[in-house]
Formats: sequence, C-alpha cells, structure tokens
Amino acid sequence: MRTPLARVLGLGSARSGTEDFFADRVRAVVLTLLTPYMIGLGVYLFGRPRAVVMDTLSRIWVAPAVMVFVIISLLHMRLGMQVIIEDYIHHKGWKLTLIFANWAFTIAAGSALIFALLMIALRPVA
Amino acid sequence: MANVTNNRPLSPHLQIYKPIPTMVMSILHRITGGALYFGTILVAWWLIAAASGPDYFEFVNGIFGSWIGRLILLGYTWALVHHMLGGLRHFMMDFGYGLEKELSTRLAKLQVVASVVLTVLIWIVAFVVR
Repeated sequence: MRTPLARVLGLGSARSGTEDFFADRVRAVVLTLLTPYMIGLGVYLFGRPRAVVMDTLSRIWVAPAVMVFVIISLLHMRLGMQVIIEDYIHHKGWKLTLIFANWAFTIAAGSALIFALLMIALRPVA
Repeated sequence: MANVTNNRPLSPHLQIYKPIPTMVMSILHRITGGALYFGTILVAWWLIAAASGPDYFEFVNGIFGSWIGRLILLGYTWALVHHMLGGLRHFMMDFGYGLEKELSTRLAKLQVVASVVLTVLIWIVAFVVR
C-alpha cells in the first residue's frame, strides 16, 4: 500500500532511489550528446604532439565540454558501480566498504582528472 | 534464532536460462560500464601526463601507441560505443517503446552489430586522419 504522499515523494520500500534513477538517466542523456564529440576529440588527439594536445584542450569550445563530460561521467559511473555493488553484494559490511571504496575511487580519479584539465587549460601562455 | 534468512531457496539465476539477445546485451551493458569505470584511469593518466611535461607525456603516449596500448584503446572504444547505444536502447524502453518481443530482440542484435561497425569506422577514421 502506498500513500499518496509516498507516491508524490517517489518513495518506494527503500525510502530513496527515485532521485538516483532519474539523475542517472538525465546524466546519461547529457553524456550521450557529448560522447560523439569526445570520441572525435580523442581520435584527433591520439598520438599528436603535446603542444597540439595542450593547445586543443585549452580552447573555449573544448575545455568546458571536456570538463562537463568528465564531471558527469564521474557521477554516472559512481552511481552505476553502486547499483552493481548493491545488486551483487549482500553482506552489509562488504557492501558498505565497497560503496565507500567506490566513492573514494571516484573522488581520487575525479580530482586527478579535474586538476589535470585545469592545469592544461589555465597554464600560463609561453 | 535459527538461521532463517540464509537457507531460503533462491530464485533461479543466470546459469539456468538460455542466453537470449536482450539478456546478453543487458549483461554486456554492465560489463562495458564496469570496464569504462576502470578505463577512466587511462584517461586520467593521459591527461596527467600531458599536464606534467613533455618527457612523461612522450612516455605515456608511447605506451598508448604500442600494439597492446592500441588494443586496450580499441576495447575502450567499443565499450564506450556499446554502452552508449545500450543507454539509448534503455532510454527508449524506459519510455515504454520497443518492448515487444520481436522488436526488442532485433534491436538487441542491432546494437552489437552497430557498436562493432561504429568502432571499426572510428578506428579507420583515426588511421586516415593520421
């Protein structure tokens, strides 16, 4: 039995999750729109000299798009991995440990990615 | 209290079902998602290399350009394309379209063909623009 309030709040038996479900799809749409551009960028930059890579990743039509793609990718992959963990790991201690590790990985990878992108985009022009 | 929850019969799992295209694509969506998760390390590594300086960038570019590096990047490309197409298919199904038996099976088969074709095309383009 679901009360009208629970229906409005989107609450199921887990008390939360509808926001995650929704956010996951919104992010996926943004990523799908950006992915062809990112693949094109990757194809263009693969194997190029560093000067070309640095210059390209500093451009106004490139740097913000890459940053948005990276940040949304991180959120999307963290949530996706959490769903996998919740689906297969039923032992409470392991589940919490892995969910924590998942956050730690996302933050570590995210800080490295964002810091590198900022360094590339905002470096002083020689 | 006796162990009530641990000995309950479980519902049948993967090994009992005959693999069908929609099921295989669903599993592949997870696997490619997991692969992309760890593939993020490669992107981070390459960007850090570019940010750190010419010598280290040359070193990392050399690894990515080697045959094993290219093989991994080929796999990464396919995982990305396949996961993206799977996402589109799931998005469509979230809105209630394409759920009919024949159509969903055909779309699942189409997905794997499309992901392989697109991956090959991307790599052909990558070699042509070199």
